[in-house]
Amino acid sequence: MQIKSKIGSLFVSVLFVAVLVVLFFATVFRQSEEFSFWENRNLTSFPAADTRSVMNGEYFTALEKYLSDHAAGRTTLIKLNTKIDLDVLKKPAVNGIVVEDDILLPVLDRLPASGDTVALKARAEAEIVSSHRDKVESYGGKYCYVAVPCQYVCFEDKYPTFLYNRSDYTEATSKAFFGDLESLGVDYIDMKKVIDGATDAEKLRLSSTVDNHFSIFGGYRTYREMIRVMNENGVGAPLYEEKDFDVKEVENPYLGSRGRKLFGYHPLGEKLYLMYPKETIPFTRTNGGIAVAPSVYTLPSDPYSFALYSVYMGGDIPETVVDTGREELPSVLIYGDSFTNAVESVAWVSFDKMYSLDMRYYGKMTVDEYIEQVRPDYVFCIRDYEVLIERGGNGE
Amino acid sequence: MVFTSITFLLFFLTAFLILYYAVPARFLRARNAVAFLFSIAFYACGGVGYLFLLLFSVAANYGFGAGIGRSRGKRAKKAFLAAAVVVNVGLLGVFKYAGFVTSSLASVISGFPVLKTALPIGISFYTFQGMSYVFDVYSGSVGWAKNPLTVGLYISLFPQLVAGPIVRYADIESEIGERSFSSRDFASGAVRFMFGLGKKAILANSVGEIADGIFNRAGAYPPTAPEAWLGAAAFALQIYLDFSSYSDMAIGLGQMIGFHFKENFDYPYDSLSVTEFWRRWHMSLSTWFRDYVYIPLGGNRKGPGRQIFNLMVVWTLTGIWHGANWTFILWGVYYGVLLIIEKFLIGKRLGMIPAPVRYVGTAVAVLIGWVLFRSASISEAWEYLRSMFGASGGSLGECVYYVKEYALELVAAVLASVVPWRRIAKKLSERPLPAPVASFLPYGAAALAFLVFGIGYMRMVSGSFTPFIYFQF
Repeated sequence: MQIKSKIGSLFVSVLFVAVLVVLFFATVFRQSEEFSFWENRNLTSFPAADTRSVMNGEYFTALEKYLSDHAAGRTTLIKLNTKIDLDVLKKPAVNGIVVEDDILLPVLDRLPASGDTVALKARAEAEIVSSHRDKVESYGGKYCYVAVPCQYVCFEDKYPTFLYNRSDYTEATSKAFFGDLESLGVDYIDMKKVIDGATDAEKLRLSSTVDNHFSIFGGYRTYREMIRVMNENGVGAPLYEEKDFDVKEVENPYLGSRGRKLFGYHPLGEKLYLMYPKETIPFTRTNGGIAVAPSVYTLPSDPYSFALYSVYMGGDIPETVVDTGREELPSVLIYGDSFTNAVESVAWVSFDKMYSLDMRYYGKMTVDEYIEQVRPDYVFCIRDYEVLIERGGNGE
Repeated sequence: MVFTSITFLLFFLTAFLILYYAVPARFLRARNAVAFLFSIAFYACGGVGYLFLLLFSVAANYGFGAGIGRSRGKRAKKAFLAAAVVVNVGLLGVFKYAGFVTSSLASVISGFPVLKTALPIGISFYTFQGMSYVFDVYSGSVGWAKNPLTVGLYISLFPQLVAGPIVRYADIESEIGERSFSSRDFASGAVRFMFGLGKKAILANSVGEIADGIFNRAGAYPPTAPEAWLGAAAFALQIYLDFSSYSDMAIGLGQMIGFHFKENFDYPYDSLSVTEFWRRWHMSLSTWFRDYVYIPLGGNRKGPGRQIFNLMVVWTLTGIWHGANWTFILWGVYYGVLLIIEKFLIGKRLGMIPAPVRYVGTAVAVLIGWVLFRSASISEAWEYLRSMFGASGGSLGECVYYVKEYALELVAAVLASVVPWRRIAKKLSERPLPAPVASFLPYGAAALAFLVFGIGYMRMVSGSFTPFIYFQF
């Protein structure tokens, strides 16, 4: 079916080349970007050529990656694609997110729930935890491991029946890992039991429908459990009840990590909350040894920007120390990943010094070396269920 | 470099078309030189190191062709022919099969050294083109090319360089020396290219996600029967749409620059027998083996026994050509056996079977074939086939998810694979239609092509880099 008119075919030909030329110039002269907010990652930088990479083709692969990241209209096109998938095609999963009316959940890969792998990994991880415990106990301190359920664990029942919710893996890993912790005599808190015992409404309040992390209320409940364990073990620390805090809603719209992957196109109206102690507790804060403003929240600079989970403790910071100068109270070290942030935002009120390490970013010392240097009264390791027996990703 | 990449689309193709057409049409040699240099650059993007291999292949086949052309005696011609076979098959042997052969030997002879060689992109395609040139010169069906650039352009012309179709020298020889350029051809080629790109970026990649999702977890988590069939069907759609879209783009690009390549697919999934399927699938490869292996071996001229032998040789080679793995060999042998059964056991009785039954039978046979093709090992293929026939239960499993997630793409993929659009378009253009309709249809098709191209570009930018399946062959 050929266009018979010469003018018509000329028009189609010129239009085709014109489209390519316009896209070419738009790509070459687009404003340079280094970071993609929506993807939460640095865009690929221009590759450097060397003889080896040019000879084996790696350079051109890297160049294509760079150009793909910097193609004309990239963000607009990805947004359009997302919008079409969400609103026109109504796909059950978009950009790796399971889209439900009342919740956004991650699409999960299958992980082996049976066989030796789980048992071996659980044992290895428990032994590492136990070695940290031994280190702490060597100078008379106390240690406790805190397992917190990430979003998909809290809402296994919210997955459509045709999608995998990883409940078999969750059950197998937690059973093996907690069993090993028990056999090694390591004290632990399983926050899943708390979540499982909550009503549906309470579960929604403690967790998040748009983010992998729990809410600050989930963080507060974890803090309560930590204080309970401390007191049970003879390290007295005051417990601040929920009524001892002023709860304030963040006015900015909350963009959770799930919603972020959908460019905020499926808002569920969930808000972020802050908890301020009613009692005035002066404190200082250092990040990596540098004094910063004494605050445990970092709010958006204007009322129109999205509020992210990084509001809590200012996000993932390698090392933070909050010092309230009340030497009669115990000092604690909390290490782990980003799940520590919401806990720390309320927990600091109960301690003299609260040391916080994000082991994914902190590289100056090992945990044991840090513990040896600081010698806190209590050490908590906070990890989420997804990485209970894993070292990669958030399990670093 | 793949056609559905930003590098190719916005940089390579744009620069090529502008420079190619900046040279006046009367300087055809200069245009050929531009095409050759861009083809070299195109191939170099896969690794400059591999370029030397391509240039060696060009030079060697040019030399063999010249040797045959210049020799007077049959013996000398035969010697050049034999040398061409040794060198070309040797190249394939070293760069494509050495690792497989040595690792197979190492599995039975402990301590046997395993060779590790990187597979140069498109080596199977350009080696076969080079051989076909030498064979045709030997048979006298074409004259030997005096200008090495002619052989260079024939073998390396970028639209068909890395994934076919496998072009015969006879089909392209005259166009290298003399071809016409028209805006009609260019527009028609551009429309074909845009449809091809959309087919790859929108449909092939989507159904590929289904196939990958099911096949990739099959080892650890065997699929249920419905999942296994869906996975096999999705792979069947993926490989057809992927490969045929590449042929569409190659044919379209060729047309844009004055070359007319033969069709490589003729809606193979409409076939009513396996024999028919292979007459319509990857036709440039089937005819290559027919003309250069099957017929020279004696074809069907030396009795049924020899014919069966010839068929098995051809189909084993077809399997091996697709990849250095026992699964590909088994896949080739499987088709050899099926074709022999159809030819010698069923024969003319095939026509007595109702068409729907033949259609389903062919489809099942082809799907089983694709399972062999897609699986990483024979044992994996066996387990997958067992799942297809209920070894892992019959629940719907994740089928509901895949169907909901890819509903539109699946429907479009099936329509693109089984509805003979090209034939419909041809028939429409031959029919006396009312003037407004007749003039609107081509513009409607062009407008649709631009829309498909736009969506394809959007998907391409949105998705990750996805190399074509056939690059590994």
